[in-house]
Amino acid sequence: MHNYLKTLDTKQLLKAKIKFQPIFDNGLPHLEVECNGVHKYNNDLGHTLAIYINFGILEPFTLNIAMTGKKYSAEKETAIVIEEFVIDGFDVVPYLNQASYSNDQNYNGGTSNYLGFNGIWSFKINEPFYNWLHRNTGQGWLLTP
Amino acid sequence: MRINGLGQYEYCRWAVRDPDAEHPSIQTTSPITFFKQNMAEVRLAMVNGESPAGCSMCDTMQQHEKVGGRQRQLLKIGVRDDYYDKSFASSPWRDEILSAEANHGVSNLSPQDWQIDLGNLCNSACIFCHPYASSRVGVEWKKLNIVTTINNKQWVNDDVAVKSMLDALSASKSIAYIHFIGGELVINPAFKRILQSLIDAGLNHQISIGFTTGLTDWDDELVDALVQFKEVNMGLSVECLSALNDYIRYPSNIGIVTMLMDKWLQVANKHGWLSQLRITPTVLSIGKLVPLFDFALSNAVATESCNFMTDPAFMSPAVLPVKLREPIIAELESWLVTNDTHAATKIINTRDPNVAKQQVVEDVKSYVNFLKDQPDESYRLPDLVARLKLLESNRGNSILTHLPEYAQLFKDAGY
Repeated sequence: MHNYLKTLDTKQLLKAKIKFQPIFDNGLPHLEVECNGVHKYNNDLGHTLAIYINFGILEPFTLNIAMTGKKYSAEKETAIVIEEFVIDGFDVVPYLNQASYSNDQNYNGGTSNYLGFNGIWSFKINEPFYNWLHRNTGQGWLLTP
Repeated sequence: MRINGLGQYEYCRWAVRDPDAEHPSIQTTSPITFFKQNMAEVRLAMVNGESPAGCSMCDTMQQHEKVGGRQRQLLKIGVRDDYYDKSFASSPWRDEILSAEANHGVSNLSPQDWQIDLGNLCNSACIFCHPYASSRVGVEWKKLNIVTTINNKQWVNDDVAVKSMLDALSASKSIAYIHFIGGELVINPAFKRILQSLIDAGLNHQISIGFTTGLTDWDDELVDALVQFKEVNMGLSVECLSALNDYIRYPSNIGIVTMLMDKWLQVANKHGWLSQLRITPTVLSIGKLVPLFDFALSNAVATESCNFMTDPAFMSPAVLPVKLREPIIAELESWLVTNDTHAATKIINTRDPNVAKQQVVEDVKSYVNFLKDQPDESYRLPDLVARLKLLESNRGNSILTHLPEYAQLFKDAGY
């Protein structure tokens, strides 16, 4: 049996890692990353970039990614790929269809880890991460008091 | 929490009942009072990491890597064994649990998830059952002098007790799930009556209903009532797909059982119910499960046994001598070679229809583990044979019709 009272000193911070891979056949994309209100990056992206953020176990989580500077071309692509997105060891990439994407092509055909338009891509977890994980991994009911 | 067939409260549906302990009943104590106050002691024990004696069944299941009731109930509050500390820290119930601990175990909440046993009215006399759970078994046991008296008093026929339960449900603003058990619910008029009362009170829109049937009867009115609830979790009790099922779940008829199984599954599919085949593997059926597992896979339903049989102990699959377990283990392992999902994580939410196949696979693995690891209890064979002979003397059947391969084994034990 677990001892509930011994869990009170549970480490209260979760670590998120987001790794970006740029595609810059037609010029570098400009990337701006804001996570839980903290600006983590604001520059052109010509290399793989990993950012990390710690957030409270009961805090919501918001990731805003803005890409600008893309010159649209039928032959050459500029884009940003979220190559890795892990929160506390759990792979979040399969759930990025829950993101929203406001972009200059008015594309609203679903979201993924591929950011191919100038615009703002947002992913939000509006509840404690482990509750979100419960709901998104087929764990059934999550009763509340 | 649970109201057992005698109308007595128990702290958990899986708790092993202490027959010597005093159990308050719905005739003497309101369900809300029992939940808030009488469960204080067990709450305190649990938050302090103690395993109450009543939790032994779940301890055994986890020992054999079978998902137990404790894990399933914890999951409903968002707590998982495999990342326990963090999921508990995140649970919407964390503060309530700590508050109850500070309040000497007394909770200010009301129950959300009940198991309600409606008594023993039953038209089956399953060989592993007892009068407490089946009125038909009671009649037979009295005739055979296994017991001298039987108590068929049904608490659900006590209008005051039923009203107390319904009042408590109405007062439980967050009531979410009621799992009904007890005898054969399809023939129990109290089941329909209680469902109708919940519908009349408008609680059907927030309550999910769980129930299990032994596949002997059908009632259109009952189905009409069930479909009005928010969700239904249906259990279909069956042991195997051959006439051995009729011997075990006497006096069922496998033709009727399979016909009703199809009919219930059609209703379930139409209304989005969650369905499971509920099996109770015994020494007699453990070697005959593969066709049932195949049926489960082809119909995308899971199989589930609540626990490994411990009562009566002489019916446990552990009674099979190790040598006779070997071909069964081989058959189950061969089935796993074909069907294993090789899932990386264990299913705790056994009601998730999207992982029915994985659940069947995990069920099969748990039996393989059990047969491999559980010590040989074949010293109980004489008790098993004595019971079978006694029942057969009344029923006019023979286990050897269905399990001729055990003829020598049973003869050596006195058959």
